[in-house]
Amino acid sequence: MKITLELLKEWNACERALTWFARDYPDGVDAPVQELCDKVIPADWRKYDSLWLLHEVAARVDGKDGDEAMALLVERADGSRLAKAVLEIEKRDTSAALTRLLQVGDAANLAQVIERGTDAQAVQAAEALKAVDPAALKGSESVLTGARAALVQEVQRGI
Amino acid sequence: MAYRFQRDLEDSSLDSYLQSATAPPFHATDYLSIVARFRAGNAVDNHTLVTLRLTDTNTKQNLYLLRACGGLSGDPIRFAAFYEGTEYYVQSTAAFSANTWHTVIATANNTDRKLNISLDGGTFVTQTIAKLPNGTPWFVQISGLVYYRAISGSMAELALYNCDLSASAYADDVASLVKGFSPARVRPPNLIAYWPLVRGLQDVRGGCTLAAYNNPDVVEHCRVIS
Repeated sequence: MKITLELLKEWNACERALTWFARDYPDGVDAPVQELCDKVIPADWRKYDSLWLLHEVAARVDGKDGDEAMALLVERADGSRLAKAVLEIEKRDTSAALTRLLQVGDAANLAQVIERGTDAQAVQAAEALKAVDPAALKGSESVLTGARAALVQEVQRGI
Repeated sequence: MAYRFQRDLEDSSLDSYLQSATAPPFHATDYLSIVARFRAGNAVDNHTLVTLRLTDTNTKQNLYLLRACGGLSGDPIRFAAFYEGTEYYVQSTAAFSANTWHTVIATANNTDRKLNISLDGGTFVTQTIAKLPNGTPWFVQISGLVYYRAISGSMAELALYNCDLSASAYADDVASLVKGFSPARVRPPNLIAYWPLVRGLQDVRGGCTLAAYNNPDVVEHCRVIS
């Protein structure tokens, strides 16, 4: 996949990354997505910058590169980025991201999906939260708005 | 006195905590350091020590969060910066122990975009990040509730500085804090908020008084050199 300075600007990369890329790759870089993440991005920044790149490619790029980025994102992302993928990526199926979030996400990450996901996603997230911390699910009623608070109540009652 | 907090077994919105109505200017400079003394009752739960909350941006959360994570492998202290809901964090390599007073120092440096953490004076662990929280300081919370559950245990002092205590220039100050010297006596020009939690809930530096919610208990304070 070809990455250029103009592309990174269009994707709102941070100033640090733009400065580095303009200096080290003035003509852009063309490499597989995994190699971009694991070799091209400097080691000191790799942990988070690679997750940012995977999210942007998965969210914006059609075809094989986008699919590969989505798979790597699901494999490597922490709970907050899995929730972000579920809520923000519209170009491709995010059910694998949700499945992994249900397995690893802590209460706050599940709460993002309960609050902002589709009804079906919210129910799944609420069920997962009920399993790991039912008191947190009960407490969520105090911070959710009407319809979603009612949905949480239904999950608590096992409806 | 220190304050001991409990989790409600049925409803996390009833966890006990302390919270200020206003926040000190912890985002006024490029540097923030948090000094906290805590005593967790177990090394199994994820105990929320401190939340520094900024106003939400694009309806997404921006905050600093310090937790003693007994639920994670190695029982680390995790210092997280949330930028619009996305987490960046650094963890101590040292583990916390149950029923033991610990001193944790966590710093955020926006000049070089790094988070640092040290437990009980150990070498600072560093993580480079991309973003720090966005927005305006909103409130400070000691312990937690709802999704970031309360500490099952006690909190004594909490201090905020507008310098990066992980820098080598501050090594002597860090050593003093870990020995138990009061933050009131360490780098006072850089101290922006200090809650001794000894005789009340006042911020003796910045005036951001805390209020108690859901009845935290007053218990014996750890030793402090003042």
